[in-house]
Parts: sequence; structure tokens; C-alpha cells
Amino acid sequence: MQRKYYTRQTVRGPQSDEVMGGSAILTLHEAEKYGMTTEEIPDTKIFKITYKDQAQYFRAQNPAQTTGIAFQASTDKNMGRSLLKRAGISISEGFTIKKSDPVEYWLEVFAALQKPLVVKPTNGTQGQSVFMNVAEEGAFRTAVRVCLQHTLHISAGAVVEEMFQGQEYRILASAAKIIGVINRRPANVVGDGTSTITQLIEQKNSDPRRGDDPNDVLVKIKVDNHVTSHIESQGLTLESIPEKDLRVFLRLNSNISTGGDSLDVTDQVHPTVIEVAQRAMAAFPGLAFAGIDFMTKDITAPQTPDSYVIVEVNDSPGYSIHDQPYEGKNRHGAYEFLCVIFPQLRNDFPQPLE
Amino acid sequence: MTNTDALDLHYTKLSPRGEVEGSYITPSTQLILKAAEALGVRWREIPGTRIFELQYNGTNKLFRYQISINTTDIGFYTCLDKSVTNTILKANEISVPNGFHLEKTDTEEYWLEAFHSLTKPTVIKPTHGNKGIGISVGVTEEADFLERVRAAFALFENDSEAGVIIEEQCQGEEFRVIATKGKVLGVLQRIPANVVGDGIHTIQELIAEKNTHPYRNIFESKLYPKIKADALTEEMLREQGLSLMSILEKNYQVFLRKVSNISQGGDSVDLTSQIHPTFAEVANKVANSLPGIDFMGIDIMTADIRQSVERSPYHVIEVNSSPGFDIHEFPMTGKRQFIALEFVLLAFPELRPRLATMTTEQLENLY
Repeated sequence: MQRKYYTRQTVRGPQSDEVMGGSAILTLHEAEKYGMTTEEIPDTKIFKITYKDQAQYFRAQNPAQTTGIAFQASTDKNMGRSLLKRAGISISEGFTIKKSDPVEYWLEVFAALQKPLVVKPTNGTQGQSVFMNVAEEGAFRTAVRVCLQHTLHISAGAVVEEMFQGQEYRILASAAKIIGVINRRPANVVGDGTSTITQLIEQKNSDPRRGDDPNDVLVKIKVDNHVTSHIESQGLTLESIPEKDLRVFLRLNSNISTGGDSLDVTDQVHPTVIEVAQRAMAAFPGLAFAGIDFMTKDITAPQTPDSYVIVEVNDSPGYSIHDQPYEGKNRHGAYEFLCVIFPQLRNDFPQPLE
Repeated sequence: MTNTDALDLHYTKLSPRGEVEGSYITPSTQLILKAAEALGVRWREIPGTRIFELQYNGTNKLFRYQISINTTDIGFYTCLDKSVTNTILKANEISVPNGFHLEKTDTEEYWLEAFHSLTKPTVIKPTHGNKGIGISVGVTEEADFLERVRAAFALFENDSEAGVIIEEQCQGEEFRVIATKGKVLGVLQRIPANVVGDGIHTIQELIAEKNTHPYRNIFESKLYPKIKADALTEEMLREQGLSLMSILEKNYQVFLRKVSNISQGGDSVDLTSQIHPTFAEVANKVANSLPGIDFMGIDIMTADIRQSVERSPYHVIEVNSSPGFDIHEFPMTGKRQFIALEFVLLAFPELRPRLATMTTEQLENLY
């Protein structure tokens, strides 16, 4: 995909700013198909979009229809959690510990939650200082202490959550419908009985859909310390030759940006998953379009309160993974996004244009 | 928490022990709840979220703080990032201070280039944040500038939204305008903490007397915090050749602070009926320029908002999507403006006809 950049007004004149996300570029392409015009408002990352003389705005994957409250609810984890809980949806119960909270409060939090726990900094990125499987009080205290030291920022803290064991899915939804469900699989290769892991990685990376930029819809697998130590933990090296059809995982995290696979499983999910997702959407007042991070023991089975949790509801979901999955169908997230901005689009074009 | 006549309400917080009393609800938000009750609109809190649900005639509408029910994601985001606000206002030919947006990834050389291109003194402020946190004024020296910029960046918890604005410092007084699309609801000027002499009492006594004002004693004194006779006050007096024990001549006004913040004991003057039509036009233009927001506080710097924009050039320095308006409802000088009522009417416009039949006195007693 061709790269695009936002525009920034500088003292030297207009210049390229941050690179635009893959989904934002899809939106611009998709809009063109239906005769819409889009115009960036420089320095704001906001787009003005016009369809049949009607003007609207969007930014990233936030449509004009999403409310200010929904925006706040999806950026404030505690607020989101309260809303989901109120709607009777299972969540990873948890609390935030601030620097100003006394140790007695830490212990109250520890006592109130079901072990094991995940402890992470409120402002952590890319898995820095994330403590998994915390079950003992001593380990818990250490984890909280490290997280609180993670940053000098005064309002920083530690998020403590119950750990849920299950598969991770991303559900793309609008207020009107569930658009697609993606399973993110950590970076992996499948053996052919003759190639080494290094060769299998090279083969997989030669797929033209895999790019070098972490924002690309699929990303090349880079061999780094995480990869070597992860395969070592399985008793393998980069020179090992996996048996035919044996899948070897190269990382623990399932991020697409580090070479993971996106698998469209929309047609396999049990109707109760759709129902839970719809209730989650309704729980967030004024959320017009969202990505729901859903964990479950089995997505094809009827969901019960213990079988799943909703981890997060994101108000600006990237949908390039739904539109260009590694395996599966194009779910047309870009078209659905435009249908949220201009509801009459669905009447004018009941099917997305290819 | 449920409907109640009492003021002094607190949020409900979710703690490991269940629902507990959280922070004090600011006077402006409490006024909205009271105005809702007065109009027969039921309200309830969603625990742990600071969201309130308003209910009338089977319809539910939600608000949080003073963010209008109709404010969208885009509207909220536009005001959250002051650099975005500035850009949109400028594109709509509204006068904003000359300036630039700095990013953490810029070179120091670029920061200095921006600094040198502007007329001094300059103001440095983080793109996000409120209550004046991290704002430096009167910055003229290169070294000081760099230090202030770094300090402003350090305030961000999240690097991806970190930004700093450098702009030319504007002259004049600061006026706060509360506006909806198409209507100015309130205009207010804040003046620094002060006392006026009576020829009998000492400054200390005058402060004590002024602190008995009813407005300084409602809402747990959070509406108008009491004037402090502290070290800062003493220093300010010393500069004027006075002390806390000085007795001021009758009608002689002495200022106790340089800044006009209400939190520092400042006073407020309502000027709603005196705003010059050209300034009302500026406020309307601001309201119409910003997408997705129909209730806002506009901070305008100008010599006098009662003069025309030609005679009194102006700059819009900030737009707030969740403006505190309690001081408009209880100005120290001037007329009460029923902003909370207007806020509720944005959610339920069908209630407006009921107000048309009311006298000012009935309105005063409504909430």
C-alpha cells in the first residue's frame, strides 16, 4: 500500500507529519469509490468528507457520530469497565493503584481479586514491565512497585487485573451490526519437513502482503531476541527443521505489528458472541463504531459468564485486518465505516463496491 | 446517589470494597443536576463513571462534567488538543495568537527556529491539560524557553499525544464567554483578589469580612475559595507599601494577587448584557467553526469586550468543551446567568416553552 502522511504546518511551511494508519488510507480509497470527496484539515488529523453535498467529519476510525462521552469511556479504562459491568458483561475485574495510594490499599486490591493477576503500568507500551501470572502477595508487591517506578509521571499508576486464560479476538462493530471477527495468531511458521525455521521465515516474508512498516496490514517477521529465546524455550534453534505441518510459534504476543497472522473467523463464531458484542456496544453510550477485544475459551461454543471476558472497547478500531486478513474474507470495514458516517450510503449502495 | 435537594454531593467510586464516596462534584455539575430537578428531569449517576443520566418523558440523555449531551468525539477532541482548536479557528478567520506546535521528536534546532520567528514575550503551554498547569508566560530567553518546553513535555503521561504550543503573548484582559451555537449565554471578567477600604478596618479585617460573603461559603467554599492572608498576600502588600495591619481609606481598592484566578480569591463581574455585538459575533463564529460541539467556554484576550473588535483587537486563546460556569450563576458583581438551565435545555429543547412564561423572580427560585 502506498504510504501517506498527515500534514503539519511548521515554521518552515507545510511538511509531512506522522504516517497515516493503513485503515485511514483504506477509508480515503473507499470514499473515492462512492464519489465522496475527502479533505484533510492540516495540523488536526481531522478529515472533512462530503457525500452528495452533505459534509461530515471523521478522524482516524472515529466517525462524527461517536459522542464525546463514548470517546472518554473508551480511553478511560475504569470508566469502560464500570459501563460493561453495569450491562452485565463479564470483564477482567481490576483496579488502578496510584502512586499516592498507601500499601494497605494495594493489599485491599490484592484481596479483592481472583488470582492469578496481571500487573502493568497505566502508560505501558509494547509489553514493558508487564507481570503475568501473579499469584503470591510478595510477587504482587514487587510488580506494583516496579510499575509505579516505571515513569516519573505523577498520575501514572499500576493496573491490576484478573488474568483470563483464553484465545484473543478482535470484533469490529458498528451500533447497527457486528462486522467481522478476527483471531490474531502470534508470528509463526509451518514446517514442510525440509526447510529450516530461518528459511520458513524467509518464505513467509516473501508474501507481497507483508510490509516492513509496523502499521502495514501484515508485517514481516523480524528475528530478534524475543524470537530466538521463544524458540529456544521450545528446544529449537533457527536452524531446526520442523516436521511437515507442524506449526512453530515464534513469539508470545499476537500483535500483527510484530509479524502475527490475522485470521477471519466471522463465520465460525457462536451467535451468543454476537449477542455479547452487541450488548457491549449498547453499554457505551453514543459509540457508533468500535473494536471489541474479546477473550474466550471457545468462540464456537455458547458463551457463559465464565467462558469469556471483554478486555477493552476501542473507539478507533483499525479495520485493515478485517478487510485484508491473512486468511478469510474481506469484511468491508471501510464501507461499514462510511455507512456510519453517511447512513444513506447503504441505500444507495446496498453492497460494497469492489 | 439519587435525587436530593441538598448541595455538596460526591461521586460514587468503585473500590475493592464496593461503592464508596468519591470526589466532590464540582459546583457547576451540581448546578446542572439542580436545574434538571427544577425542570422535572430525573437524574441518576452511573457509579464509577462520573456520567449522569438525565431522564425526561421516557428519553435518556447522558452528560459528564459540563460536556454537553450533544458534544461528539470530534468536538471533544478538537478542544482537548489546543493546537487543533487554534488551527480550526485560524482557518475560519478568527484571531488567534501567532504560534507553532512543537513535537517531542523535533530537533532542538527546530524548536529554536520557531522561538526566534515569534515576537517576544512568548507563552509556552502543553497542547492538552487545563487549570493553567504547565503554562509559562513572559518567556523571552532561549535557555528559559528550552527548559519550559521540556518541562511542558514532561507533563504528558502518554508520549503519542505529547505536544507543546509556543505562541506570542497577547495583551489585554481575559474574558470568559459561555456560548452555544447561535447564542452567547454569559460573559464574565475575573479580577484578582482585592479588598476595598472603609476608613475603619485593617486589611486583615477586611479580608475576614469579605470571606463571610455567602458565595464564599456555599459548595464547601469551592465556588469562591476564601481569600488567604498568606505570605503571597503580605508580599503583594509590601510592594504597595502596605501591610495586613494597614487601614485603607474609604473606597480605596487594594489588590492582593497579581493573577485573576478565582481559586486565588479572585472576584467575578458579569458583563453579559454589555458585550459588544462585534464580540458576540466572534463568539458565534467560534461556536459555528468548531464541529461537533454545541456548548463551550471561550477565553478571549482583549482590552475591553464592551468595545468593538475594531477598537479593541482580540485573540481567542482557548476553547473549553467542559467549561465551569458556576461563577456565571453566582457573579460577585452583576446579574446571574442561568447557564445550567440552558445546559439541560440542550438535552431537552422541548422544555424551553415552560421557561418563557416565568418571571425573573420565579427563575431565581427555580434552583
